Amino acid sequence: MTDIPHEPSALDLVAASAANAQSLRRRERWVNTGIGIAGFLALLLLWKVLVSALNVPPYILPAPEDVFIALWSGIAVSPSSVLGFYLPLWSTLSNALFGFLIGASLGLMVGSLMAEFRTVETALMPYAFALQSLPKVAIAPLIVIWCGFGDGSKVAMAALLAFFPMLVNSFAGMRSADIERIELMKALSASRLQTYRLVKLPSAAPYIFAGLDMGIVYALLGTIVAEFLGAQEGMGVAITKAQAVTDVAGVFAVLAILGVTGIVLHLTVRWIQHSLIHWVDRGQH
Amino acid sequence: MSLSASIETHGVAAAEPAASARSAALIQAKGIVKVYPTVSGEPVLALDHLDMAVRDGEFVCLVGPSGCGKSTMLRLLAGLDRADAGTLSLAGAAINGPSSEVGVVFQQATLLPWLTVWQNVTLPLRVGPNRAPRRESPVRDLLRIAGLQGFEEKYPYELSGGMQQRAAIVRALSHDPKLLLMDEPFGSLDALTREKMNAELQRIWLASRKTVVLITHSIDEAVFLGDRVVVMSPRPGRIIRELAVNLPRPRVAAETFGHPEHVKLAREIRMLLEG
Repeated sequence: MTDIPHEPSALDLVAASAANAQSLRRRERWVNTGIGIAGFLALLLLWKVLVSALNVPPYILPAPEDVFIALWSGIAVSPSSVLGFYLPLWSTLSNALFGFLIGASLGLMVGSLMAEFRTVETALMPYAFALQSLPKVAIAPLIVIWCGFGDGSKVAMAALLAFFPMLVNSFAGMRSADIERIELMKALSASRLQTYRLVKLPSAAPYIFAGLDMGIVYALLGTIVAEFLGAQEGMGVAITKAQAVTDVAGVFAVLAILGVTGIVLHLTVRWIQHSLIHWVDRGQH
Repeated sequence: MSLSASIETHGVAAAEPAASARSAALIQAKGIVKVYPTVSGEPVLALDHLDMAVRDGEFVCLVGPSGCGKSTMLRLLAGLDRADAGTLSLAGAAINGPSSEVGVVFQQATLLPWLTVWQNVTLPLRVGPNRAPRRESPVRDLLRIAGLQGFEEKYPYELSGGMQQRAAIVRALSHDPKLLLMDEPFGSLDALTREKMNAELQRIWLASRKTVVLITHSIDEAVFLGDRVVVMSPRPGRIIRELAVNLPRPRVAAETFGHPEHVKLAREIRMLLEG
């Protein structure tokens, strides 16, 4: 057993190169974050310079610091204060999420039924297409007539907008299931439900999550639109209130909050997706 | 008659004693015709009055040119398709659909990537109607024989291609079927892995002694593995020759491939396939 201390083995080299690649990746991530922050600061600076150089009146475009003040005045209050963002955000968010759950579940159900039964597909496909091409926001006034100015119309709008991406994606996902895997289940005399649960649903999972990702942002959009048409509370109401008194900085502040909310919702879906879909599906083999 | 009249036994290979063949035919295929409709409208005759018999415990390799209907025959045996004419029976009973007496290994391992190796190989014990009470210890033995012990909780993507295919074989055997059907199981593996897998398959087979019908493009593989090699004609598929392989088992690649018997049979099959 001779030991050559200065000669790195192939395994050492592999380990070293892996460690190196990892540290490179980490460094790259830091650099990217840095670029992001620097870009954002540059944008703020440009905004500030333009507003003061061109003398833009605050009812057209407020200076960035005015927006920050408006933001802060909505954030730095008690959560139960009527002046804060918390109450309207909670109202909007709870309606959007509730509607999303309803719409996404229905979308998954109908999409699955369409993928599973040709008859259901033939019967429903024309309507799905027609409704899909219809700008659903245009239905909002009708929804408000049917469901009133309360939470009902907000939930319904959110559900409606979350429904379609889920329907289309779960349908496409189920149909994309590898034919050999379905044959395998057939060879094992698996029941329809077993094939659905063990093959079709997991095969469709990446599609379903893409649908959820789209659906959750659409649900937020639907809720805001319904709020524009008439509501007692919510972020849409906060925008129309600020607009009524040409508080453009206030509108910007609400938009910023909504933007962050959208990003958080999107990242949450992504995070659930990554922790749930752990497998690497190379389709074949 | 288990070896029907259309089957020619070749002089080179000693024919099996007719009595034992008659007594224990597991598969009986008579006059099998299969026609596939095509998009162009011209139907394709995949199998043309094919007759075949497989004895209980026999390892039969089916070779033939691409598109000769080998896979069609396998699908019929697996109950995944119905023949348009002819009779097909397994252990005396007509094959009317997928049966728990049959295990199938596809060209691809076709493991479910969202299930662990253990969940994958025990799938046949968990799906389908009226499954036998769970008997998992034989599956543990199979995994050990297949060299997959310790990989139960891994996911398929953590396994090499050869290991995935071995897991697929274990899955096909886990519910203890009478018949194992394999459709080009090692076609997607590289030559060296394939040779190793052939030896592994032989080992698993010697331990389980199932009846096997294996489809392959590889003449060497067919002669190495089979008790009998069935050569099919180009489409429409018929059986043109059956050759018994009288090489001692366990066969070892290094010895068998150079064996005069192997060389002779391989040449014979090659000439048949090249027409």
